[in-house]
Amino acid sequence: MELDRSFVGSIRRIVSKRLPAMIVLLATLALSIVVGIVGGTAQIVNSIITGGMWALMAVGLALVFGVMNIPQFAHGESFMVGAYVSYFVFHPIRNALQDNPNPFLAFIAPLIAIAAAGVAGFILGLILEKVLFYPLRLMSKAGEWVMNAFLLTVGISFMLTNGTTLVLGANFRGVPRYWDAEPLTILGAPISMDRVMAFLIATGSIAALWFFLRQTRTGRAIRAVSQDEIGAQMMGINLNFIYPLTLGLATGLAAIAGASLLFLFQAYPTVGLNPLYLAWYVVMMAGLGNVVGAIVGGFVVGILQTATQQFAGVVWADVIPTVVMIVVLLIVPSGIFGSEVKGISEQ
Amino acid sequence: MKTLYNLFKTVLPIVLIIGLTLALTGCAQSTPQPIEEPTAEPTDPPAEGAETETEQEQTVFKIGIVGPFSGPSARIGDEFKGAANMAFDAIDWQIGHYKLEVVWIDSQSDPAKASQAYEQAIVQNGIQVGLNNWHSSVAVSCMEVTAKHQFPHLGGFGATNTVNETFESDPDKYGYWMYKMWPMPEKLTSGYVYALEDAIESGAYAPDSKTVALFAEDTDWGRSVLEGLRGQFQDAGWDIVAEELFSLDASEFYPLLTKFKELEPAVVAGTGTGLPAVSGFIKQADEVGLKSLIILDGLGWFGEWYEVTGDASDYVIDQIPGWARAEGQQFAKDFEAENGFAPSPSSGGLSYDYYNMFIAIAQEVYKEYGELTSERLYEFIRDNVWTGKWTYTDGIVMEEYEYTPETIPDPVVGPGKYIFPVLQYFDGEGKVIYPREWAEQQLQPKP
Repeated sequence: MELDRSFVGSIRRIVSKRLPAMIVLLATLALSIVVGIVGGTAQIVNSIITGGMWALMAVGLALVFGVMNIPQFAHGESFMVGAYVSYFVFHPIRNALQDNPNPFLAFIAPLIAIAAAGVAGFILGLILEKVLFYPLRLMSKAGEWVMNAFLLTVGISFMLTNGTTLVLGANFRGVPRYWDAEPLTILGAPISMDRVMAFLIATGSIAALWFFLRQTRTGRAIRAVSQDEIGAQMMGINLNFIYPLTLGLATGLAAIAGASLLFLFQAYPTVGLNPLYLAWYVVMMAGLGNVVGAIVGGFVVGILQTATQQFAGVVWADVIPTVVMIVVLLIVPSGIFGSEVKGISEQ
Repeated sequence: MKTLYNLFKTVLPIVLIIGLTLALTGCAQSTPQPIEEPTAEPTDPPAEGAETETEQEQTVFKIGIVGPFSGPSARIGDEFKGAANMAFDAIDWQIGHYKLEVVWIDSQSDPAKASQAYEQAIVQNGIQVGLNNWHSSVAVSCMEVTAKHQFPHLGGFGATNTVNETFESDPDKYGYWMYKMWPMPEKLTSGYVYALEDAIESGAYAPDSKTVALFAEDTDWGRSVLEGLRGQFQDAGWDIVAEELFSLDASEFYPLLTKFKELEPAVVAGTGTGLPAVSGFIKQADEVGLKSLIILDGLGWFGEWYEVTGDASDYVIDQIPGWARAEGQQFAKDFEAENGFAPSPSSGGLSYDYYNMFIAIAQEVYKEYGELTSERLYEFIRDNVWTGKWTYTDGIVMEEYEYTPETIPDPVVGPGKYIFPVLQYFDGEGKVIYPREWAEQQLQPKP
């Protein structure tokens, strides 16, 4: 009897704590079923795949916010850098393959390009942390960090966008496709190989990040810093190592997203704007700094976008998700999965 | 560590200031910046006794060129710049004793920012004529600026019906938006319907049903095209099964195209002015296996469209001028050599013609009046161009650019004047399918 009561009590506590998340997830499931019935399995399959891509974009943003308390408004520029690097690596290989076909190289060339983009994004994060955020952290007084960091990221965004326009021009650089293959049929839905691979890369990257954060010493150190920075320092965790690594991971993930989606977006200076807005939708709706929430939130936004296009029209694709986000935040200001941003006093 | 800290303390503010300065400079792209004045080539010695241009005081004549030099349509802005530089280089940036200077007015594809930048260019930079523009929504907003300052603007691409309606509502006030580089969409979109009807009549195309789904970007241009296509298809007995608008920077069309696929229209027709959107539409249509014939007005506006769409663009129908003449082909080669990318006849080619048309008008004005001012340009165009007395026949894209009292602000549309053939793309090349007298092959339905 006592065991039953404590079990029921535990269930009640979990449900009340996670009630907003459970409601949203159930609503999303219901919406998916309706979309599937009206639009067919193709819409569901595409939602999942699109959701995976947004999750990859959002998880880096959530990571940076959760660990470093940086509202990263230059996240879209990491996406842009990834798209450009992937283009400049893949394009010459593709041209060479047109004269000298090689099936193996044709398969791995896009993966090489995407990996290169990830490395470039990681290095970008390291540079930004060392050159800009670290000095800013030293100079910021208590209570000033978030605003200072926000302004700095806005400046970085302008610099990177305009610098790219200056150096590379406004031309669109893109590829018709990465993999020259017929679309795959998944549950009756034709999905291009590029989209499938983008999803697999997104889920693989997220899974790798998850493993890293959960199972490795450094990953646990990052999580410790996100929970309690002072406590983590007291445990001997070196913040001067954790912060660059965290920002590098976040920018690297965004760069991988940009590279994976080159078939969809092309590379041009302002390509990162839309993905940035979407990533912020996801993060704000899911909960600032909540990495798990960002992953699930990506899929929720994917379904929401598909449902909007199906029932309301493409032109509402930005409006309705924004309205939903506003409604969610009015009801649950900390996001549906709860915010995991440290208090200002911990900065 | 302390030394490093002190070093950072000193260096960081400087780095931040430099960064913010660069950022603000970049942000202030709407603020027109004059380009570097090219050096004029030495001329032949003047005739004895004649007053030479060098002896007259050199006067600067400032030209404001409106275009999307940043944002989703920045690629078009690059074509405008390239074409302008080539046109003005050819005359050494000189008309009479006037040294020409260009002020680039960045519309940023935003009507509010464009009109603000245009007003700034007139008031602060002292431009004396405005040329060009891309978006219809920007044209509509800038017409208010030209009306307010009674300032002549020549050759805007903004083609929407709203520009014509505004012009006609008060020609004295809005007539400073003097002529358009592109007629109202419905004057050209009828070509698509004629091409389809012609193919049906000849037996080349036999759709199961005369059904069409329409799509367009949610701008003045897009809505005008949609309106034109809707009326023209309905007049020809087609059923409209769907209509969709999308935002200028949209790139994800999979759900929309899946919806279209379910409806099984014979034709899917529409337009977009941003390469990410139009290329995304084409590629994703191929991905979902859409069997409908696609009409995408504007695909060929971008020189590198085939690079990003590949064979997904096969069978797509478009309507753009081509490089039919040797001069046009030479221009395309020279442009690519100078700028590193291929121009499109619709944007780079047409704007080159209109810059040269402005130069020809300005030279006429200088010859007639001995001076080049906004007022003289306005008078000349009103009295000679609007009436059809003066036309431009040295274009590389169209045979003749003519305006009449009945068509102004639009150019005269028709054979020998302003006309676009209807093309169908295969392997990155457009084959003319209509009108019949120019056709290289018949319309081919998708297999």
